[in-house]
Amino acid sequence: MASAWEDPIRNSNQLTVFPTAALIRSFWSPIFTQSIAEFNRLSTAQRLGVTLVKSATAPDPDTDAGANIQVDVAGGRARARGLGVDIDESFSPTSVHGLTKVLSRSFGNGPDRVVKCFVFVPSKPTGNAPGGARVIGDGVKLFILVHEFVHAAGQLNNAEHSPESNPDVFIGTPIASPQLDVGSTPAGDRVRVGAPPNFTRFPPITMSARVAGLIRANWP
Amino acid sequence: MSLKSRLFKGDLKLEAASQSNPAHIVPGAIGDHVAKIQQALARLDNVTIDVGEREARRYGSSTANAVLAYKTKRNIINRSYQSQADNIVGMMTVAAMDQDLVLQENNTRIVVTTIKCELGTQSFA
Repeated sequence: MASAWEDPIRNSNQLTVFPTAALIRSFWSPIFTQSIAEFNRLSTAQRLGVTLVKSATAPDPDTDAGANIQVDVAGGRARARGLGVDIDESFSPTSVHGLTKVLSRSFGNGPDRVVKCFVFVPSKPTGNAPGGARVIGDGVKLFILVHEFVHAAGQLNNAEHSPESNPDVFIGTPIASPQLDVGSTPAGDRVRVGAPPNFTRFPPITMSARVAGLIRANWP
Repeated sequence: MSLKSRLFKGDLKLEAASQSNPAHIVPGAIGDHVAKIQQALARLDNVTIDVGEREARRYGSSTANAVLAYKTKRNIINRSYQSQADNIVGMMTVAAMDQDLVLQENNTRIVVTTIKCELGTQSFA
């Protein structure tokens, strides 16, 4: 576990999530809503101790105010500002990927505690379909965003990704090698795990007891 | 008195509350100044303010309770007219919070961590 959210946030058992205007204007908008519902469904089923709540208030650039998490769509640069710190890094618009930037704070010799997370998704995640390159289907987009929510809510890093022997929405490198499985139509696109002929495909979105336990450990 | 903490400095309503009794901030207030008081309480006393109050920047019951706890803990009582702490943010409370915040801000470290995940494109077709 990388760190934990600050106590006042942890004690609320909720994380507020703000979608940027750019995200709302993009094809990610319905996926955002669905991802929150999907995470909360998993939270209820697995008693994670944390739920996500959509927020209308952006994180303040310089103070603690506003949502705990911001989700933005990025095409080239991932940019944000939180707690007075600027985030600006390269982010491919076409790769099938997600990025979470975690801002932690410590007072004196106290431990680092998470105050804000900025999640970025690509503006044009593209796969090579038989008919040519196209934007991936909503199922894979959903997988990506719920996956990033697991990082943010559980404060889990990549070393805690799920292995191929126990795959779920938190599968990822360097522990496993999930692949984009491009279908004949966007609706058929999946995240594929494992070796032939024993593939596992996502969605449906599932969460293993192992990952649920890791998240639960971070919430009262 | 001019406020010195990065969180409070320059906020007209908090500056006013630090200088004038009638400008004190009471339950029911709404605005950025309330959000800053909520943040100060969370930072200084690790209290959890109701999500609805935070979203609305409203001085509701959980904010009022946190103010009362903050003042009780520090014995912030205006002896000229009261014998116990109340849940109002007036001159003494703003000054105490500002002072606590300055101490904390001078000893704060921010760390940014990056988590990147990407799907492979290996084909088994």
